[in-house]
Amino acid sequence: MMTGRGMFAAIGPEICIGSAILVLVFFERFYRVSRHWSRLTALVSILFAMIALVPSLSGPAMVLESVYIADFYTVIFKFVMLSVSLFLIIGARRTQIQTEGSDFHLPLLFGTLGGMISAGSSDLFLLYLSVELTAFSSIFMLMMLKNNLHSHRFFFFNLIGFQVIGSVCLLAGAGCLQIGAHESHYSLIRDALRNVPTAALPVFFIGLLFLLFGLIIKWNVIPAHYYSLRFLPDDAVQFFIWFFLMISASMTAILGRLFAVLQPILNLGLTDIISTISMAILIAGGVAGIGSASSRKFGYFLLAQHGFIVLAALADASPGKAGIRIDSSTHGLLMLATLCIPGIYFLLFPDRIQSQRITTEQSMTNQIGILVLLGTIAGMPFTLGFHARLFTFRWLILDRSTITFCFAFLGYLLIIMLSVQLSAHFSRFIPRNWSVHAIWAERIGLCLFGSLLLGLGLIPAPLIRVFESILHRLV
Amino acid sequence: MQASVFYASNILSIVLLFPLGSACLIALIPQNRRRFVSISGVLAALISVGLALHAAVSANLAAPEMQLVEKHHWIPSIGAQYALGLDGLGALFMLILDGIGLLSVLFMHREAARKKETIISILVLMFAAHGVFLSIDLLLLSLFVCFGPIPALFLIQFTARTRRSNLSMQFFIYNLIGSLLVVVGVLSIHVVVSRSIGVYTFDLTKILLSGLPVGAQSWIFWLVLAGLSIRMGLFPFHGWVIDLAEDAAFPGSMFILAGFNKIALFVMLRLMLPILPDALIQHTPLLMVFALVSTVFAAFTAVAQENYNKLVGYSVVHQMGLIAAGVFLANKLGMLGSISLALSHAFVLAMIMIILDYLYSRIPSVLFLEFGGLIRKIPLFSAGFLILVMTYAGLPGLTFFPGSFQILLGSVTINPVWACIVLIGLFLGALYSLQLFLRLFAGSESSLVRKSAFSDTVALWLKLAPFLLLIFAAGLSPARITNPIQTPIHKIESVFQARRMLMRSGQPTPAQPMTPGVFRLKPTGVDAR
Repeated sequence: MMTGRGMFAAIGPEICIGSAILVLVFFERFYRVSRHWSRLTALVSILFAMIALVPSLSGPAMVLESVYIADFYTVIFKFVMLSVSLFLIIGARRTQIQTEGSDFHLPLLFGTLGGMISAGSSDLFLLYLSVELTAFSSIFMLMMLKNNLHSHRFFFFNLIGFQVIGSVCLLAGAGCLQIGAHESHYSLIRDALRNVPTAALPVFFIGLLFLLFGLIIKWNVIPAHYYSLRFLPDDAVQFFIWFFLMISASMTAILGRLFAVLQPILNLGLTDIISTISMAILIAGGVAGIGSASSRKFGYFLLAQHGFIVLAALADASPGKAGIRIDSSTHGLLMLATLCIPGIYFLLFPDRIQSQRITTEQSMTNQIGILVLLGTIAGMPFTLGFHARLFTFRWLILDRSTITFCFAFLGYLLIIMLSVQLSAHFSRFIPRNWSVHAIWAERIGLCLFGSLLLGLGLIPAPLIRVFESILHRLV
Repeated sequence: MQASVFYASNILSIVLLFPLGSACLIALIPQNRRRFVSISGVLAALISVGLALHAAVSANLAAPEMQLVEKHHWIPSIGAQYALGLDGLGALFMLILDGIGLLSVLFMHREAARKKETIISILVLMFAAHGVFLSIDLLLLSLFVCFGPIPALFLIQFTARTRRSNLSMQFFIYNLIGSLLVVVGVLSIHVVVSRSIGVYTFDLTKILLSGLPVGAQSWIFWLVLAGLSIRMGLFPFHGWVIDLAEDAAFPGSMFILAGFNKIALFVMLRLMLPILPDALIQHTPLLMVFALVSTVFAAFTAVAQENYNKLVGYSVVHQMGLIAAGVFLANKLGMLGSISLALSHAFVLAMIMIILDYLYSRIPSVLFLEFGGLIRKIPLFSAGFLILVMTYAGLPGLTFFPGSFQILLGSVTINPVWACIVLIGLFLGALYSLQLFLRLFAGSESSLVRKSAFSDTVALWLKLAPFLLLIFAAGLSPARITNPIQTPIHKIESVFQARRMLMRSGQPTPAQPMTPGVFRLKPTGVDAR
């Protein structure tokens, strides 16, 4: 039984965020909280949550009757989510998002909490609840930012509980549906899967497909991206980046664990199904992006990356390939870093991507910075993103997955083409005046950011070593 | 003292990074200081040539092993290293690319738009090329191959006359696919060799020592070959070459058509031939057909052109086909001929394009119809151009001749039928070269020629003089050029001789013993620690 102190060490960050939510709800109910105080509360809670992550580094812990894990792997994702929310709050001040009181910060904190719980969840139903928490929070945030009712479609689709159906089928298929115990716990499901009767397999596969379908809808992954691109290029673009990064982080964490649970049956054709899904996401996103206008192009450019994330998670759990788990997990984390580091810049300076025509990007310094950010996300050679892809391709060659490799390669090419098209939109090669419109602080910020990204791309070994050491401790 | 020691121990890193560093410095110069930008660009290119030359002189290029080697861990978990080394092959190609870079910066129009950005792109391209020529780690080499199209894309964007977006996009897609295929090939080599020796490695020496099983060689060979054929612009992947030549943006097209496509030839010699010899021997007839079809098809098409820029474009495909044929022969004569031809092609084509660009600046048309009779108006200029065209046609005593002749001799020793086709290719090459001269300079004066004024021709030729001298020197004494590459070529040839003898003797080619799985592998970095 875990002591109270141990419990706090494990779920300290969640407690910090939860307390801030309670405080905001309480004051919102009895007094009208000003926007300023709401922002301050959110900022302080996130900072405290970040500090509270430190005790989790002392070792892995299972809490709340083992349905929740706090280990190094989880800490990384929690840190990413907290950072992303922190930067959104800082960046939101710059764009003067028109909301009152804690209307903006409350759903933001709820969403962050949902993401954090999903990263640490080791139980199907807790996973469902946490994903729902993020999804509902994002709906409210969207309604707030869009200031219209267009989000009803998003809301409606999110209500469809494919995940519940999937989970139930999964449990029924595995033959372990006994109410009263935590039968939805990952370890129990994995044990059951080792001896799953052949007759139950079809039910089980249907359940799994429902579950994945449900997650795809909740995460707005292509082809369920029915709403994501609608709020580009207006003032809700910052939300899109935040949502995208939150999803990427929780996706990497959840799928990594989920596929590990499914390991006993992965070699029964499931690997092919999942890799087909990931390639479909990648290629559909790339193709759709190439045919789209500039801002939607940017949306597709980001959404297509989910294909690589799914593939990385699959690589983690590939049956019988224990030795390459470290490599592929490192790839997953690299992939995340690739998306998050430039994403943070976009969160801080949303006007870079807000309008169809970028008018502030006239100085060469700024253009190169933007190109470095785009190149990193796309995985251009000598950027951090390239190393992430390198690990995927290397894994696919090691695994001899020729067809997946060909499609991944095609998807990669499409994404690079998108980045080139986007860079043309950003920098507009037509000889115009190259006068500087950006303020000096922005230029310096972008230069430093670009240098950091380039530096990490040129010398990736330290970052890879950090990831590997974390994962080695996990294994 | 310390500075000289640092320079001596890091000479290759300095050679590699100098163009990039100078590009960064030039980026800081204000846009309106155009003259200062030009002078800085020329100086940077000159110093880069000087540094490359100094590195080549410092190294013992006759030695069989790599010289001035620098090695540091880069990504230890997969055995990738920052490893640089120099041999005759790398030194020669580096000098070719630097020379073309210098020509590009030197002959840039005074009033060219986006001068600063163009110079920066050229210098970054030189950096990418240096990276390919100096890397002895396959991952690093392939990344530099992959990186090359990015500055080239910008170069085209900054200099193209028309359709800049389409042109640059087309170029980029072709070349990126080509480059990524090379990366995939390199990763496959890495996986196969790592399984074989039990250590993750990208080290060229270790990979060469280990060798690849014949079965694995074949499919990796086709991957790499497809990539390099695209990068070289061989038929049927020549679409980007023709479009780029048609636009003839100076110096963008010139740098890419004269210099950039030679990087692929270098990769063939560095990577494909020594690592995948069995696959090449197995498929030699097919490869020769591929190269010779490219040569003959392009030469015939060039003859039929009414647009002189397109003629130049098809001439590039034709010459690259000949060069590839020399490489596929995989004997000493063929390889030496290919390298010699590549060197000559780079400089002669660059000068022809400079002169065509000058003509275009006086008569803005690319059609032969609008020209003619220039010989009467500018006789000395015409004589100079005739020398270049004669060189391009392969006249004995000029620099194209030794290379073409060696390829011809190389093909005779293997298959006389191939030699006949090579000869037809050479004949057609001479035909379109002469056509280029006759239709531009001979005949009656067109109305446009009559109205146009030609000045500054002396200054132009004065600037071209050192390069012309180089052409004559290379033609008269080809051995001086090929001396530094004798050792690496001999090494490659000995590999092929051994494999051929083994195949003729009927013994099964030895495959490397495979370890049961890849999961026992240790990364080289960890191993070293």
